[in-house]
This record gives sequence, structure tokens and C-alpha cells, in this order.
Amino acid sequence: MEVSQINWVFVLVAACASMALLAIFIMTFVVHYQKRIIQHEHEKQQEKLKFQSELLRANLLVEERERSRISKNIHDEVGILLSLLKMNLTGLNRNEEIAESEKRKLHNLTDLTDKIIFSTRSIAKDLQSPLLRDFGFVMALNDLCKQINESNEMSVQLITQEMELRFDENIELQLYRICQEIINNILKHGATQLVQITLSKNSDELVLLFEYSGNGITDKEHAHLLKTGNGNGLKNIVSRLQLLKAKQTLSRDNFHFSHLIQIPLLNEKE
Amino acid sequence: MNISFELVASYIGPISSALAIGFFLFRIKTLDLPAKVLFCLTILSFLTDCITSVLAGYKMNNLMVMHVYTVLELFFYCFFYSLLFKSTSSKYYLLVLSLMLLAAELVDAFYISKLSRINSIASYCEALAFMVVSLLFFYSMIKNLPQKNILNYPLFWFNSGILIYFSGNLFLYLFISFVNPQDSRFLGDLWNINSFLYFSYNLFLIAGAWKSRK
Repeated sequence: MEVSQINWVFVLVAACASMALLAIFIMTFVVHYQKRIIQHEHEKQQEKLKFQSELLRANLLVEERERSRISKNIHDEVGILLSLLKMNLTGLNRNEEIAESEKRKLHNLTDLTDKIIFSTRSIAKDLQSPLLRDFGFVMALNDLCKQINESNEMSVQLITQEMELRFDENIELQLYRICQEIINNILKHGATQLVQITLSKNSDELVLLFEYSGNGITDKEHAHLLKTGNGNGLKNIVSRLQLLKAKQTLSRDNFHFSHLIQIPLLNEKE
Repeated sequence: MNISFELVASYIGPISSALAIGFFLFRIKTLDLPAKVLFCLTILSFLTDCITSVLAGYKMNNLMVMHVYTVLELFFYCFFYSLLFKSTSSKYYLLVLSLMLLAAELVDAFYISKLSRINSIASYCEALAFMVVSLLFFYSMIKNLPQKNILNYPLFWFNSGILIYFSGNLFLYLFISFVNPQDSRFLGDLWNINSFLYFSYNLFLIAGAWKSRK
């Protein structure tokens, strides 16, 4: 082979090699670029989720504050006025100058006032349970069960070894509202006489299990209800569970339904 | 085989630039300013090819035209990149770069290679400079992520074409100088391979023009 031919082959090989290198560079660039785009999109999504979670937290906080304010106003203002009204009515009832027929009316009015006072107290309690604030979520839940049992509409059994369990005030409030909402849903749609609530705690999570026989929903139906825009109560539960980073499982076994809630126990920092 | 390769190589450059001009014209309404700058440069390159061919036909030295074209080309590319880099400092550096390259071209044309010979030193400098600038633009793209799918971004295609053309040219000139700088036959080979590089550059321009959407 001539020298010039060897040179020509060398140039051609070198040119091809440099072109191949450039092509590899451009391909690598494209792949790296797309990876960066995916990462960027993921970061944006995470930020959006974080923002939504913050918004949700703020909304729930405002809602709870408002509940607390209304509850306090009912208890401190309306409650006192109603008590004064009852005192006056009782005083009038004792007045002997009033005719018997009028006294009967006054007696009825006193009874009615009693009922209003009782209703007002239970509304105030519903809005913000003093037990929850003072003795914690488990005691408040136990009290809620007692109240329902007293109403004779349904029997609710709480099975737990953790009566003294306490968490952060906000977490306890969210747990209490979730339980309230679930019990309320069972009361409205469950068509059942007995609900069993099992509360247990292990090293990394708190487990709440609601079990009953009657009418209920599974995960699939739950997702469908959320998708179709029905079930404000369910949405409320989902929002609060999101805040607690908890997960729920709804299942059925014939006519036996269970609603399992698993709440991770995070460190203080988390 | 050698004859047919040379024949193809001599026509492939002007034909590909004519094709690129056609695509630019087809998409003229959707072209943004940087694309229009490259469109003008492609027209200029096509005209230069025509003039050099005519001069070669009359057996006249056409390398002086190449010297003028190199100067115009470097200003077009500097203007193109000054539109892509948004910061004022980048525009300032590009202005300095264009003046330095102009100085290199003038020194090469009047003192080193002379007007009647190929401007190899100015070509080295220009190729090296624009290779670096195009790599910087790649870096800027990866940093700023201007589009979700980079393959739909016309400037990616234009910049890739510029990188391939200039870095290919740089390696080519370096290899030729290293292997046999005195052999005149290699100048012909250099032009032939340069034509294929120019062809691939035009393909990238066509892809960029095709992807141009306002």
C-alpha cells in the first residue's frame, strides 16, 4: 500500500471516529436531558403535593379554630343565658299567684328549656370535646362510644389496652375527627347493631380497626365514590389521613365489613 | 470509486444547502430570529459555493472568496449565539470573541497564509471557538431545560449541526496537518470530507427548520 493511501485511510478512520464520538455525545446529551426533565417534573410534583398538604393542614386548622370559637361562644354565652332563663322560669313556677293552667305552661316551658340546654351542650361538645383536650384521644373516643350506647341506636365497643395513650394535640384531634366520621357513616348507612373498634399500638404504627356486620363499602367502591364526587365525609377522612400520612383499607367478608386505619408513628422531627 | 466519491463530494455541499434553504423557506412563517440568522447564513454559503464554482470554472483562484466568507460566517455565528445566550456578559464575551477571530483571520489572510492560499489558521481558530460555544450552549440547555422534549427544540438541532460541523472540521484540519501537510492531493481530500460534514450540518439545519413552531 502506498504512503498516501495509508494516510487517506487514516484520515477517513479518524474522521469517522470523531463523527461517531460526536454522535455519542449528542445521544448522551439527549438521554441526560430527558432524565433531568423527568427529575424536574418529579420535583415539581413533590412541591405541588407539599403545597397541597400545607393548604389542607391550614384549612383544617382554621376549621378547628372556628369550631372551638363557636363551641366556646355556645357554652359561655348561649349556655349562661339559657341557664338564666331556666332559673327565671323555675322562679315563676314557684310563684303561687300564678294560676294552675299558666303553671302547667310554665312547667312545659321549663322542660323545653332543659332540652334546649341539653342540645346546646351536646352541640358544643360535638364541636370541641373537652375530654379530648384534657384526657386525650382514647378517653374521648371511649366517651363517644358511651354516648352512642346511651342513645340505644347502636352498640359500640372499644377494645384497647392503650387508655393512657397521648399524642400531639393536632394529631389527637385528627384521629378523633376520623373516628367520629367513620362512626357517623356506620350509623347512617351501616344498618348494624354492633360496631367493634380495636385500637392497638406497636413500635412503628397505631392501628384502628372498625368491624361490623350490615352495609358497607370496599376500597373499590370507596374510590368510585370519591371519583364521582359523592361522599363529603369520606373526603374529609381522606384529607385527615393524608395529614397523618396514614393509610386505610376497606374490605368485606360476606356481610362482615372492616375499616382498617394504619397511622405511622413518626419521630418528633418528622 | 475515487472519481465517483469526488463527484458526489463536489455536489453534495451546494445541493444540501439548497435543500436547507428550501426547508427554511417552507417554514419561514414559523422561524424565530436565530433560525432566520442561520437561514441568511445558508443563503450566503450557497452563493459562496456558486461564486467559487464559477471562478473555478474560469480557472481563477477562488480562495479570496473563502477568506471573505469566513469573516462573514464568524459574525453570523456570533450574532446567532448572542441571541441564544441571554446574559449581557455572554453577549460581551461573544463580541470579544468575534473581534479576536476577525483579527486572527486578518493576520492569517495578510501575513501568514496570504489571500490566495487556504486560511487554515483562521479556520482552526473559528472551529475551536464555535465548538466551545456550542458546548456551552449544550450546558445552558441542560441547566435551563427550555423544552420538555429536547428533540422538538429547533435550537438543539441547529447547535448539534454546528458542533458536528466545526469539531469535525477541526479534527480534519489537525489530522491532515499531522499526516501530510505538504501533499496537495490531501487538500482535495480535505474539501471532500468537509463537503460531507457540511452535508450533515445542513441535515441538522433541515431538522431544526422542520421543528420550528411559533
